[in-house]
Order: sequence, then structure tokens, then C-alpha cells
Amino acid sequence: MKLARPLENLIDQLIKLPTIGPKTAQRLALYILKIPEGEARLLAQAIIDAREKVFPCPRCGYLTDTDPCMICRDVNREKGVLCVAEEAKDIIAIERTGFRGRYFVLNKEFNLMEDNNLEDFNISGLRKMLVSGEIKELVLALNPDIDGEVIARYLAGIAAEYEVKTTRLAHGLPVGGDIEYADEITLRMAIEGRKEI
Amino acid sequence: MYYRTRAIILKNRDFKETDKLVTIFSESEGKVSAVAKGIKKPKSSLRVCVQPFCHSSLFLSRGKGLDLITQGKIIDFYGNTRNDINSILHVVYMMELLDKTLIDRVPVPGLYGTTLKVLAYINEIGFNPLIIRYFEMRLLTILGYKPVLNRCVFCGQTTGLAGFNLAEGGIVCNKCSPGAQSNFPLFGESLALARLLTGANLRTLSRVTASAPALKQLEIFMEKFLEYHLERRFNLKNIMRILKKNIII
Repeated sequence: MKLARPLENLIDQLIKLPTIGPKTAQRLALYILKIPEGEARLLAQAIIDAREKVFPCPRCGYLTDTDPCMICRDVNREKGVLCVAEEAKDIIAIERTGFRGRYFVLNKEFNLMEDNNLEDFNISGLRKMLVSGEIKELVLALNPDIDGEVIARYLAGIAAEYEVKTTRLAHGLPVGGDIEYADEITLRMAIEGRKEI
Repeated sequence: MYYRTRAIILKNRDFKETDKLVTIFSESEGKVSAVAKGIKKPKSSLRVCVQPFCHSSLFLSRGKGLDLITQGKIIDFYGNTRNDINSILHVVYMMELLDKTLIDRVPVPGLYGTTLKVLAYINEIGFNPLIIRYFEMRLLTILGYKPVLNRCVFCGQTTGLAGFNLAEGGIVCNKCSPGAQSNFPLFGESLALARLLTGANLRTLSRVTASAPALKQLEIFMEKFLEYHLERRFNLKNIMRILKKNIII
């Protein structure tokens, strides 16, 4: 069925978003047409503002609208513990745990088998933090897969240059899960990383 | 239409929000790209079956473009290999070699068997550079690029050898060699090792001791030979060089 051109354009734009299929895009577009004009303008302005004002913090790489970001400015955080993550969304997840250290975001996806290079990581910011001598421990919060393992080794090598202790997040069973349903690799890692009680 | 196959997982990469596009080396179908749905979710039971270099039994649905992995069971995940970064990198390099050389949907049973044997060897005995060179040589042989190492590729002369000519795919003698400068210096122990790789099996190779310079020379030779004939560069080689430079592996 032929749709009005602006409506069709809105659907075409919404469909580009992750997890949005053609039907959802159409539903969202029709909903936007129903809401009051002021609300629609606020939504449009929010998208423009976020796009224009949010940028990676020059110090840690976390998404911010101020330089430095609120995490780097926070004086109550532990200065000696630096957590390295691949993307800003990982920081959001780690912040929910109550971690009070500082962060460094790599902001780059890495896949061993694709033609990309470890040296493409922009780690000059990380080196600056390490050379300051404030960092006592580097916590590598990288995905528990082979790519994560390789990046961890690379970063651990860099941290070793500055004689900084490096740790990785533990691998193991999810809380509330059943051992019976755990996969072989996770269970093996959980056994290897067992703790004395 | 559904089919069941045993497969070695070559690689996977992100595909849509929670899916991954998995490249497998199937025993019956050869190299196949298939989608594994929802495997980034913590509850996915399929996730472990599609980790790189796992040997899995998979149930797939044939699609118009990409196949869909619907069920899976792990046969071996090579746990010891996963504990050693050096072994991981070399095994992933093997997967990259397979990914970049195999043609879609062409089964290669000989190579499938060899890959499983090498994976099992590294998992049980540990990393051995000669075993990786053996895998490279087997791959070249099966693909039809077996080098001529026991005589001059032009005249058949077995003495007065002037190195290895990459373009001709074999050893050349002083008389036939058009430009000795361009030949790869494959002599002595490294040449003997290369000859051994073409005929020996894993059990024999595991008993061989070789000097570090000869192994290094053999590694460079195999890399150049692979790159010349397969016309591919291998990312893992570069990554291993960077990590070695930082004395991490």
C-alpha cells in the first residue's frame, strides 16, 4: 500500500535501528504521528542533542557531554584501580555493580579473524594514565572469548612495562543458574577458578 | 530441509542484535556460513557449540542464502588448548588458514580428519611448532600445491641445489636456477624438516627435535609459500608477531 512520503521516510529511518523490523518500525512511526506535536519535537530534539553534544571523554573514552567526564571528575573514586572495557555499554553494566574505580574504554571492536590489528587500538590515553604512577591495578573487563583473551594479553604486556598489576574478571557460573545446565567450557573454568571458603 | 553434521567451528562474528554468523568446516558439506540465533543471550544453550575451534555436532536448516543452526552438541572443546595463549593463537591461525582457503560447500574429508588430529595432539601433548608446519604442509598438499623438495623442479638433479623457487613450487639447482637471488634459502636442517613434513605422520614428528634457527627458517618458508600460492595474508601471523614483540607469548 502506498504511504505518505514523510511517513515512509520515518519508517525507513526507524528500520535502521537495532532490533527494529519493518512491522515495529511502522508501529513506532504511527505512534509518533499520534503523540502531541510538542512531544514529537522533544523526541527529535533529544536525538539531535545526544548526537551533537555527547562524545567520548578524551581521558577515559566513556560517553560524556563534559570534558572530562563525571567519572574522571569524581574525587571519591579509587584512583589506583583502573578498569578497561571494550565499549561504553560495558561501563554502564559495571557501574551497576557498585565498582568505584576509574575506567578506560577501548571504543573499538576487535575480531581476531577479521583483518584488524592490535596496534590499531588507541591506547595513548591508557599509557598516559599508567605513566602517571597513580594506577596500582589494571582490571581487564573484556568479553570472555578468544578475542578478549588476546586483547587482555596485549594490554597486560603494556601494563607490565609500567610494573602495574593486571587482573581479569573471573570466568564461571552465573548466579542463580543450574550446574546441570552449565556448558562444558564455563564449568571447566569455574572448577579451575574455584575459591576456598 | 534439515541436515545433521559434525563440524569444526572456524570463526564467528556479530550478526544482528543477539545473533552470530558462524563459519563452520563441516565433515559432509565443507565450509558453510550459518546463523546461530540468540547466542549472545546468557541462557543460550547453543553458544558453547559455536565457539572457535570447537568440534561440534550440529543440526542445521538449509536456507536460501545462509543456513540456520537450530541445535548443537559439543563433541570436544579442547580445554587444555584454551588455557595456553600460545596454543590458542596457533590453533586460531589454523582456523584462519582453513577459512581463507576452503571453498564453500566443497567437502574435504582428508583435511577435516587432519585438522581433528592436530587439534587433539595440541590439546593432549601441547603446542609444538613442527605440528603447525605439518598442518600447513598437509593443507598445501591436499589443495594441490605440494612443493617439490627432493630434486630440482626443472631437471631432476639432486645435488648442487640453489634454494627454493616460490613461483615454480620446488627446489632448483645451480644450473637451472634463473636468478639465484630470488630463491628462498632452504638448505640443510630446515630443508630436511620440510622433506620430513611431506611424508611423516604426527607420531613420528612428535619425536623429532630440531634447532630453533631451523624451525624459524621453516616457519618463514611456509609463510612465504602459503602467501605466494594462496594469495592471502594471514592476520594471525601479524598478531603473533606483535605479541611476541611485547614478550607476551
